[in-house]
Amino acid sequence: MNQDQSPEALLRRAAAGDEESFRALYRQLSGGVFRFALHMAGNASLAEDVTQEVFLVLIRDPGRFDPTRASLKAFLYGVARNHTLRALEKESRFAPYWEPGAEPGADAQEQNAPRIAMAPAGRQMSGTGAPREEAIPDAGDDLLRREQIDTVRRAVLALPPVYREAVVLCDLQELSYEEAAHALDCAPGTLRSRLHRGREMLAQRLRAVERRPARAAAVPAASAKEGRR
Amino acid sequence: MTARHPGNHSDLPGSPERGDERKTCAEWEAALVEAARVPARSGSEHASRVAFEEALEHAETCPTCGERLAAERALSADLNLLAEADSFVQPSPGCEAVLLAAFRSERGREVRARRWIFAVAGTLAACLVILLGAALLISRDSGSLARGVFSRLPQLGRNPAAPAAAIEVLPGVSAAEMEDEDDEEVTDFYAFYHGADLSSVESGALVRVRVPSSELEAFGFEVLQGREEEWVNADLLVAEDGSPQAIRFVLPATQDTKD
Repeated sequence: MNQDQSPEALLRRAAAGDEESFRALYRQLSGGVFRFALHMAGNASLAEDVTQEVFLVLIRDPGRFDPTRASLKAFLYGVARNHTLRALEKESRFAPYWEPGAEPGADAQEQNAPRIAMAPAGRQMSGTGAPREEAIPDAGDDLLRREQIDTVRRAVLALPPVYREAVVLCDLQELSYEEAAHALDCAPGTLRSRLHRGREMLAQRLRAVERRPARAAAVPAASAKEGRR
Repeated sequence: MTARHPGNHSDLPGSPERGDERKTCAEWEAALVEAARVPARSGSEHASRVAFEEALEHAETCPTCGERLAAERALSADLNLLAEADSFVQPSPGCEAVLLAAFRSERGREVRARRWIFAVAGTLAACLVILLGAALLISRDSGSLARGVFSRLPQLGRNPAAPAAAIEVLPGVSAAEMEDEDDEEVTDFYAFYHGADLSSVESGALVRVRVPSSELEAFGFEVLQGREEEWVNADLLVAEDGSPQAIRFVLPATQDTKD
């Protein structure tokens, strides 16, 4: 029997006690919630705590979600945002979670070990967390790409939270303006304004990084720009 | 980048002129940002597809806006790179396990809570039924009691000192009627108890009853032959504690008495 697999339908069935529906709902939405918290906090442990808290809300009080107001996805991002900001305020943990030179593992889905323990490209984390060396296809390009991603990640984390959440939701999580505005509890116009301002600040930071002499010596600016495009 | 350009660029070829409306580069900014985000997005969020195309058109002819568009596109590409790199990042399997355990626990708690509610509701319902039954029984007993009280009234005459074996209470006899001595003649009070001091009964009540004529003989009256079965009125003097103290008989006034 083909059942409706939309998040809202899954939540209805989960609220009625269907564990499989809850599992499906979790697998459908947990990644986005986790990545949002990760990009906001730069801390995998905190992001996982936030993810748990968000889904615990659904378990304990599914009635809090009002389908007439917004999508379940937007609701969950809103809860995640509140938990993340609260946790950041409480713990003041703004340290980037990414080690320089590391890259999210493209094969992370294949791992049984915690999937947040990501390995650089060409490496795979073993069950104990120790990296296992494998062949690296193109070390130069890969290094450049990893460096570039790391730079962007740091620039995003350096944004003030009010602009960071707009950029993360709209440009990294690809939520619609309406969904993101609901998650951030603001008007779509306000969100758009914050997004534009956030992007402007982000571009300034990235330009500042590119102008650094050390970086300029390592990677010619022209090729770096080319690589980014 | 948000400042208006001195030349306004509205005189450049392809500048944003629609009717009398001329936009500055600052006014194109929002559309340019959206245009830069579009390749990776659906583009359905744009308020107007026409405005979006106009912005691109303007960027082709305006060097400043062209640079801005290129910068925004580069930024979008950077962000897409980061999003793609992190697209496989997931919470640990332990997180799912913890949540599933919480889900089972919560469901179990709900089931227990539901059972508890049913149990409490059932108990309350049972208590309600018992209370209703008790109330019904009490009301029946009250009726019996009331009936018992009233049934005791005729028995007043069964007092050993009161020979009247059957006394019928006359409802609706007012005090005025009792005092209407023009139409009736009353005897003295006869105490039920030997030696009772009737003067001590200060605030008693008079209750009019009917007794058989035959009972008059016990008080020394002569009852005519053949009229023993008739009933005569009598007034019971009842003390405050409800005990009958004395009785007097009410006889129809004779012509002599009336005169």
